[in-house]
Amino acid sequence: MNFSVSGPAPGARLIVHELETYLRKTRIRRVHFADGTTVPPPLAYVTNFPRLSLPLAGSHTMELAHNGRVETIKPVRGHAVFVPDHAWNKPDWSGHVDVLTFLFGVKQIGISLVRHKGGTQVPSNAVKASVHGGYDVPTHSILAVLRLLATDSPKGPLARLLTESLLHACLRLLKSPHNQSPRKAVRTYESICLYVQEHFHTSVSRETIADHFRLAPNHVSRLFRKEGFMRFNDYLNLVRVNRAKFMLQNYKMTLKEIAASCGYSDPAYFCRIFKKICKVTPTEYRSTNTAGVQL
Amino acid sequence: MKIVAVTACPTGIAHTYMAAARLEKVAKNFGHEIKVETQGAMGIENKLTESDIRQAQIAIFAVDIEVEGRERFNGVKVIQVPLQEALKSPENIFSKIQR
Repeated sequence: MNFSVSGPAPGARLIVHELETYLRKTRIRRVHFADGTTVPPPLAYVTNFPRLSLPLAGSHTMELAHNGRVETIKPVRGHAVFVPDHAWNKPDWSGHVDVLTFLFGVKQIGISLVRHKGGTQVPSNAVKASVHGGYDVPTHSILAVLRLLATDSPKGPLARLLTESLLHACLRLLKSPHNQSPRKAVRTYESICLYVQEHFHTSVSRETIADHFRLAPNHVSRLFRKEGFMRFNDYLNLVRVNRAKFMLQNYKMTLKEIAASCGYSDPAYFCRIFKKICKVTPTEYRSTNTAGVQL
Repeated sequence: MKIVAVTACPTGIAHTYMAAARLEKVAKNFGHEIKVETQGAMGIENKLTESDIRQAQIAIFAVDIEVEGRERFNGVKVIQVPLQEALKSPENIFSKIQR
């Protein structure tokens, strides 16, 4: 998959250069995670998408919530700060700092490069670039794991290695050639598929998806018919039933529990859909596929 | 009232998006219809079309930097406020409009 980079081209080139140099010379030593466990102070940064900030030079002190407490950190080069959606941080811009911030939106990734000499409370400007078409699968998956990790303050090297991987994945997106970018419809369709794979256990529907992506519900149907050769609901059921198959095989849970954790509030309906797709009932599937396995 | 708005902050990281959300929410409480374009690090999102702008009675710029494509708003009444006002007291902006 390829994506297009927009924003003033020199800006995007500068950001690619900075990120490339950074990754060649620097290893991530430490990742700070913010969360939303305290009330954000006035003018704190709170967004409905996750963000990653990466000081390149200098430092700025930053307040953030972590495990029910407000912490003040002073990240420098080699550190990264991951702020999941709805968590908060509050950077102080009074010192000299060059910082690269990644914004992981629904449809695109935005990058802001601030070079701030300090002195004023807010930097006067930033270089910005964005990658449209959201994510390729590696970027999306790494980000998903990092978001999971953020909830249980991980020890060990996983967080810093994943953060490095995420930066490499973003760099690859930024450098992919502009002219080979797939049609917008394909990119939107792929973004929706990834979203469904992440949210199938909640009450997603064609309407909630349309709302999330700011599309008309009919347009969602059309995308699936044209790009995926199936109906939206068939795709959603397929993702849910696949997960159910895995759970039936590996977890000792009741059908009702499995149905619920795959997004079906009605177990009878779940069984009907399962039978339609797999040609056997969930119970039959479990007994044939767990024979000899101790649950 | 039909309103269009643009939000933009220097870093384009968070306040742009937070201000847009505040304006949308408060406009609804005042019974206005609003569409907010964000000019942040993710590029221009929810872009205002020519007809959005033509139909609007007023445009709000909650910005701390230059608005991209300002010429689109020629002939529309524009009020410009510092971005922080949209975050701290968005109600004031709308009461100003009503007067």
